[in-house]
Amino acid sequence: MTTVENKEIEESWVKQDWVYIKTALILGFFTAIEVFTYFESVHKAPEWLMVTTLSFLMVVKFFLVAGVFMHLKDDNSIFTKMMTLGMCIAWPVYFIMAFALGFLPDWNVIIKVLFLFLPPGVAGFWLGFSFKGGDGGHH
Amino acid sequence: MTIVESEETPLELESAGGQPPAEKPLGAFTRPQGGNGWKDWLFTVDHKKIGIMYGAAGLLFFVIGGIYALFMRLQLSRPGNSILSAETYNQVFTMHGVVMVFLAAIPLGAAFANYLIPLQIGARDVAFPRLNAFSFWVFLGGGLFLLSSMFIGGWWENSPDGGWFAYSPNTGVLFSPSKGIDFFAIGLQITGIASLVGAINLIVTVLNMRAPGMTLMKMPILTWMLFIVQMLLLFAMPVISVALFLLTFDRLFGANFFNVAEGADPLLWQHLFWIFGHPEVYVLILPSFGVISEIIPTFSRKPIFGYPFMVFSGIAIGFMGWGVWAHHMFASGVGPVAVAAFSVSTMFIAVPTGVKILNWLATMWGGRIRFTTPMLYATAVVAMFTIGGLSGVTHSLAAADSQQTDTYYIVAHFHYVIFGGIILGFFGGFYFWWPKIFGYFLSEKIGKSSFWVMVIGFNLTFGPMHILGLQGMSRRIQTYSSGQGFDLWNLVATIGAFMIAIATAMFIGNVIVSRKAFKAGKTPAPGPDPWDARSLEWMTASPVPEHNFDETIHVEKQDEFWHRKWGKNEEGQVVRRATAEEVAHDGSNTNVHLPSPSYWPLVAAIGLPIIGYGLIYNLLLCVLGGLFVLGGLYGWVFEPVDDPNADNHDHGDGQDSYAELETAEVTNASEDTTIE
Amino acid sequence: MSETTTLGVSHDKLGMWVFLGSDCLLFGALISTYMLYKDRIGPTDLGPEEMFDIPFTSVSSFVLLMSSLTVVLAITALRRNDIRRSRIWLLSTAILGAIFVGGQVYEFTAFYREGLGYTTNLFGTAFFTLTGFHGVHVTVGIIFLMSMYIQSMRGKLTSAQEERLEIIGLYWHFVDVVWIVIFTIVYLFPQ
Repeated sequence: MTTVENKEIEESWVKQDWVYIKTALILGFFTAIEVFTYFESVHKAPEWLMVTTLSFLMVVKFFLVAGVFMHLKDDNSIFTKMMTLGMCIAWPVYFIMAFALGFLPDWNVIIKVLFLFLPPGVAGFWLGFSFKGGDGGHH
Repeated sequence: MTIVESEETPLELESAGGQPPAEKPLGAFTRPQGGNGWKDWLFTVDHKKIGIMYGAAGLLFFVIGGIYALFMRLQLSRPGNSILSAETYNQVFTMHGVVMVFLAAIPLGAAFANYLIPLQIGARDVAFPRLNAFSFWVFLGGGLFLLSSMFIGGWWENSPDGGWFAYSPNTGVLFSPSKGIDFFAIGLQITGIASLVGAINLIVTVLNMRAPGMTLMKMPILTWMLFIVQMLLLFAMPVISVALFLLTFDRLFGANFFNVAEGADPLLWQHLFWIFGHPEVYVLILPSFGVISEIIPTFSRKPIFGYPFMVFSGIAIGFMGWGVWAHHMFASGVGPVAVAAFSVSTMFIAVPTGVKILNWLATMWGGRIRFTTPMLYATAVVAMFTIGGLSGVTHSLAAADSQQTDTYYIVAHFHYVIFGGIILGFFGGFYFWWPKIFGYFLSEKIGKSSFWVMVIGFNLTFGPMHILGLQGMSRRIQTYSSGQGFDLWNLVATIGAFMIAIATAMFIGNVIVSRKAFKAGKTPAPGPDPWDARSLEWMTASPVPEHNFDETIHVEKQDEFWHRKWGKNEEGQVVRRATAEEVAHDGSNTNVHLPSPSYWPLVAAIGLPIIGYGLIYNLLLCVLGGLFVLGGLYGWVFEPVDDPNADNHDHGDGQDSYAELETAEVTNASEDTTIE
Repeated sequence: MSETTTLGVSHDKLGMWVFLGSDCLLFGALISTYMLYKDRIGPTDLGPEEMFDIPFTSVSSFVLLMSSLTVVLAITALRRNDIRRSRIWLLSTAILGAIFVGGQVYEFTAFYREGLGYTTNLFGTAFFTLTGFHGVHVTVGIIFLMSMYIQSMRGKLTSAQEERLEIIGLYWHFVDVVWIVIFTIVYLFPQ
């Protein structure tokens, strides 16, 4: 291997490390926003707004860690599928339990049904759509 | 995916024997060598031996659970009987349920999964052979731990008494002061670990170790059903684990999860238990569906009718099984919306099951059916499961269900699906694969007569329970008074129960007699393919040699083995192309690399029941158990690599598959080998 | 080597992902239990609003978040066979994890001093169980990381074993993801 090639590889590693560091900075920034909601003035915002904002930030952080740090973004899709399958089952099952036990707000039935089945439905559609009965092969 | 097209290349890989590893690894011990006798079984990592041990343990627990059932039936044979006291009766029906579900039906399914999945997908072994041994020993340890509750601290003093469903707050210290529920919770926790580990192992095996060319939609139905079962176990086991943890913490550390005085909600337990419990029902039934989906095409001499429908109805059952759990709770006050929703979803789940029944019937339709013992059992499953399935649909109507709840009608229903669907299917599977596994036939004569005794006994036992239940006889009550019209049918049920016991004894007798007859040379050897079957496990010698197949099988079609034996001539008639003996491997290749046996799975597994006893009696024991587990795991990780040529990364787990042998082929590939 | 399996991925990595998929259901059940019980306290007991010290927990959450960064840096360092750096990052990951667990122990003792024991009320029971389970996961991760560190010191961790560290990294990130969810739902949501 020539030194030029070596240097190129070295540079690509540095680039990769930078991607990780940038991701961590974004994650830290989002965490800071989250903590900011704790302060009095913000804390008095309506509850639904707080919950929506915090949930949104949580989901973004979730996808960043899973996508970049756990490299689901560019790894074999079977890993994403296994994780999605778990989430697809966990989401409706636990929320139905929550509604049945009555610790979630008493929403309109249509909103409830959408909330329960839309996210796993979309993910499940992707799972089913990508099922070819084949042996997967490379992504 | 690399596909090597040099089909008949013998596998060129040096055997593992001989050279010790170059450097002394951290683990002080060497790996045990494949010996003989009991050591061979104790330290084995061979999926076939582990499968056989699962089967033997499952049958043993089936007999034990059956003895509990006989005592219950004896007690109920006459009104006002006093063979069992009310307390003992509680303990007996609890143990009957727990042993039958967790220690008999799950491991019998695991036996088929362990033995047959690698063979049906043309693999050398499972993905993690040592984890496989670990999950068996953990299961056995958990099972014995649970049963030891009968003896420890006095005879029947500490036996669980809360029912297999263990509803809170009935299982709190207040209402169940003995240590029985502790044994129940920790014992099931341990067997749960076994199921979870086994599930991970088999899922990776199916996804990642299929023979070249075997796409998912070319896998045999049995493998498909077992794969779905492992998926269900994978996602259901954590839920029951949490429920059992909460219960254990309540009882041992004074937590409040089910403490109603602090405002706890006992329905939390019911939800968690049945979120696990309903997928669990499909964990039990799907292996049996798979088994008869292999038996029926073979003896009807037709391919399975509607293969994709069979697969997708299995997947549909697997998914919908997550959305029906609250039908176990219609009488618990879950609210009208939940009752209505779960009522509808329960009716829907009958559809994919109906699809399966239709497909089995259509497979038999117009086939040249041979009524051998396995086929008899398979047809019985179709009939009996249909009865159980239909009475199940009656439960989905919440109004009717509130009448049926806690009566013998429910008992009748779930025994028709569990015994009629699962146990009969498994017995059919035993007769079907026995020649493959042990190399001799079970006697058809004894088999057929025991089949009739079993089916008649089964219907006598559970058929009358429909009537008893509709007449209002409560389940889980140790006696009843005469003059309510219960006397006759209870007596009939007791007689039926003993007929089932006789039939089980006949099966065990059949094993002994047939083995003797074979040893004495009175029965012929079965050869690789005694039934003219369809899937890959019949493509190797019987009993299966330790290395499974002599060479990598390249799969082109579903039912590959069948298509190698049979083909169509110019007029479109099906004609034999080759005999099974010509196609099948004879097991003569001794150069296949096998993973070495290992001490550590057993060592690590022993630690878990010790921790269990420690939690109940003395926390110091937990330290000892923890040392076993930790020591076992470290010994495991740092165990010497058995093959000096193997990649250091893997310690003989997994990459000893044919996949690695493929690499060997690629490196030695001659010029005409194309790699895609 | 892993190119020859059916899906082109190694068994070990697939096995870890399958396990993580199953662990979602475990934490789902625990979080649901906590959500059900968090408001069930006695009339004089302190509730989550009074108990939680958000600035403190934010710092320890940030520490755990950063440990996810250090572990990927350890993996990339190992991949280019930079053993020295990978060792440093590995050790700092374990230390960050230990700081997080230490913070949790501190938090637990502080709660206990303020009168919230494990058996005090349903909020205490559910809170300690949920965060305790997460803490156990982190502790197991630290044991994994330290074992890898020791292997590295013995010269047994080179770029050839990179995938082992990657698999442990997956577990570590998953624990981090779970904490992201717990931090938002348990601590930050309006009580």
